[in-house]
Amino acid sequence: MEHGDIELAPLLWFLGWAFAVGALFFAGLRLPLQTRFTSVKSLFYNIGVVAAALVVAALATTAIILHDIHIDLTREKIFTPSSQAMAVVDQLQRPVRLTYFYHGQDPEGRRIKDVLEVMGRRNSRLEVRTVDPDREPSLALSYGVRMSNVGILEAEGRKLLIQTTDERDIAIGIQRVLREKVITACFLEGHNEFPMDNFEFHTHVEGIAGHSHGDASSKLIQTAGHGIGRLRRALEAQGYETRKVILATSPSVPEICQVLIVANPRTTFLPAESAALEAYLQSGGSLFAMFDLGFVPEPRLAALIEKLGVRLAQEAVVDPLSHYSTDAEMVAVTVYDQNPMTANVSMTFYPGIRPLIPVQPKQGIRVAPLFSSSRDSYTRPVQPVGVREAGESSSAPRSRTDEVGPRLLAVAAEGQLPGAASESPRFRAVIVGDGDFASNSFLPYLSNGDLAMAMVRWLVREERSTAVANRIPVPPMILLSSAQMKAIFLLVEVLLPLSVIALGVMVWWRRR
Amino acid sequence: MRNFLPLLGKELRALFYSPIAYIIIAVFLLLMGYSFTLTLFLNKFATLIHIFFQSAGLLLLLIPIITMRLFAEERKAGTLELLLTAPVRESHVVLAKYLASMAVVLAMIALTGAYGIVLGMFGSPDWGPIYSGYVGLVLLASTLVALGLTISALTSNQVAAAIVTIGISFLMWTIDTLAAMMPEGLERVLISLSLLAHFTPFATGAMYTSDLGFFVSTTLLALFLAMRALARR
Repeated sequence: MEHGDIELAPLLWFLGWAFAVGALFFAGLRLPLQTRFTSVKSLFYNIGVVAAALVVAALATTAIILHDIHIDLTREKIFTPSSQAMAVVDQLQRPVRLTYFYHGQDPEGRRIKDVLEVMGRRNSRLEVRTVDPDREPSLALSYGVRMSNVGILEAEGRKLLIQTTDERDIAIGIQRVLREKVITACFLEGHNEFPMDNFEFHTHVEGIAGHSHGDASSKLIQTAGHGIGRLRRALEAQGYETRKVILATSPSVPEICQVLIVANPRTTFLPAESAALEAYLQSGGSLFAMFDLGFVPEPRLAALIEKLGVRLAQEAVVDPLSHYSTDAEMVAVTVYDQNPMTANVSMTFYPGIRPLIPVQPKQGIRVAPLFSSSRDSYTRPVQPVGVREAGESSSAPRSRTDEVGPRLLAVAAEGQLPGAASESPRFRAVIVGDGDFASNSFLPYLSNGDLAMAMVRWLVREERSTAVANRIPVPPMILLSSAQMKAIFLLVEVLLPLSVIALGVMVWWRRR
Repeated sequence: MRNFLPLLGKELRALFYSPIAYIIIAVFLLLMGYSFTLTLFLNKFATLIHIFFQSAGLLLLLIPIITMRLFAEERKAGTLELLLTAPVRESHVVLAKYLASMAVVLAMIALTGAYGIVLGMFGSPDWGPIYSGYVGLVLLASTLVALGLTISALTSNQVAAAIVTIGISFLMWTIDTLAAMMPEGLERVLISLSLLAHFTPFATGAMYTSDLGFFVSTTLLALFLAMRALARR
C-alpha cells in the first residue's frame, strides 16, 4: 500500500486492534495481584496469568502483521515499488521464496533489500530473506553464491539466479520462475526484416541532406545497420525463448511459436508464405506484424490483413501537431485507445509510419484500435519497396492525402479466422504501420520498449505480467562553509550538552 | 487520577532532581553531536538515518541506567512495601515510574531535534524519514523503558537490573542474526522478535503498522509483567 493510498479496511483493522489491545491491557491491570489461594495455587495462578499475557501479545502481533499497512515517507518513494510490481506480488497464487544477498556497504544493495522486504510483506506467498553475505557467509556458501546483489528465486522445485539491484528484474524473475511452460517468440526472416541477431545501435540513414528515419530508409532494400536484437534480448530477459523462422524454407510456422514477430519486411512474401501465415492464425497463433513504409503485401497477405480489419496504405503520416523533435513525420503518440497493451504506456514515437485503413473484419474477429495520429495529421504518398515497383503499387489503397484528421496507426485483432476448426483456439494479432519504433535505434527511448513488450505479452496471453519502474534515491546534500561548520559544531557539540549540564547544576544548586 | 498525579510528580522529581538524568542526557548529546557533525562534515548528506541507528544503540546502554533504580532501589531501601501499602493502585505505581522515565528519554531524544533544525537551516532534507525515525526512536525507547522497569521490579540489586536489561535488550536487538542458524519455523519467530528489524523501517522512512503494533504490544506486555512482578512483595 502506498503513501496517500491507505485503504480504509486495514486502517479500521488497526484502529480496532489498538482498541482491543488497550482494553485487554486495562482489563489485565484489574486482575488481583495477591490471591487468597495457597502458595502453590497462587504460584500456578501467577504463572497462568503471565502465560496468558504472553499468548495475547503474540496473537496481537500476529493479527497486526496479517493486516499490515505500509506508509512510505521518503520523498522519492524509494520503498514503494510501482503498482505494477506490487501487482506481480499480489497476483502470486503459488509460494515463491527469494533469498537475496545484498552488499551492506552498497547503497543500491541496501535500497533493493528494503524494496524487496516491502514486496515480501505484501503477500505471504512471497517469502523474502535478505542476507548480507559478510554477516552470514555460511548461507551464501550453501547457495554457492560468491558475489553480492544476487537473488535466488525458488518455486516448485525450480531455482533461478538473478544478479541485479533492479526490482524490475526481480519481478520478471518471479514471473519466470513460476512459468511452467516455455514461451517461444519467433522472428520471421527471409524478407530483409530487421535481423534478431543485430545489436547495432545506430540504424537510421545518414545522407548529405541530413539523416532520416522514414521514407528514405524505407527505400533501402538492404539496411545493414537495422536490427531488432534489443527487443530479442528484452524478451529473453523475460524468460522467453527466441528463434528465427524462415517461411520460404519451411512449410508452416512451427507449432512451438507462441508469437510470430514480423519486423519490417522489405520484400514481398511468396503466396505459400502468406498461406502458412494464415494457417498459423487459423490454428490460434499470434502475429506481431510491423509493416513499415513502402512494404507491399502480396494479394493473399493483403487479403489476410483485410480479414483482420485493416488495409495498408502506401503513404506516410505527417503530424504537424504531435511529433518528436522537429520532424513532423516522426509521429508521437501520447493518447491511446483503452486496451491492456496501452494501459501503462506514456509517450511513444514512430519514425515514419504508414496509416492503416479500417475495413470491415471477417465475422468472428474483433478488432480494436490501439492508437492514432493527432487531428491535424495528414498523409503523403511514398514509394513502395521490394519486388513490387511503383507501377504495380498504383492499385495500393490510399487515404485522401488532402484530408486532415487522425490516422489509425495500430490495431489489435482477436478471434477465429474463416476456415479455422471450431475447437481451435482464438488467434491474436497486432498490426502496426511502423517497424522502426521497436528497432535497436528507438526501442529504449520514451515508452517504445514498454509498448513493444506489452504487445508481445498480450500476444502470448501474458498481458497481466508487468514491469517495474526503478527509482534511485538522491540524498540531499549540504555544502557548508568553514564558518558554518564551526557554528554547527559549537551549537550541537558544545552548547547543547553544556546547557544540559548547566541546567543540572542549577537544579542541584537550588536543591542544595 | 487523583492519586496518580502526585505519584507521577514524585517520580519526576526523583529523576530530575538527581544529577544522573542530566549526566545521561549530556553524555548522550555529546556522543550524538560528535557523530552528527562528523558525518555531516564528511558525507555532506542531509539525513539523520545514521543518527537514529546510533541513538538506538546508545539507548540500549543508557535506558537500563535510568530504569535500574526504579524498583530495585525502593525494594532494597524497603520503601517499596511502604509505597504499595499506601492507598494507590499497583498499576499507578508502575505507570508513574514508566512515564517519569520516558520523560527523561523523551527530553534526550527531543534535544537531538537540533540536528534536524540544522539540516533544515542549511539544506533541504527529506523530512519524511526524519519524522518516522523519531517515531521509531520513541517507540523503541518505550519498549526498552518498560523492559527495564520489569527487570528492576524483579530484583533488589540495581547493578544486576542494569546488566540483565542491557543483556536482554542487546539480545532482542540482534536476535535476527541468529535466525539463519535456526530451523525454518523458529527463524520467522526470531526475526519477528528483533528490535532492529522492527526499528529499521522507521529509521529509513518506511513505516509499517505491524512494527508499530510490535512496539506497542511489547511495551504493554512488559508493563503488565512489571505489575505482576510486584506480586512478589
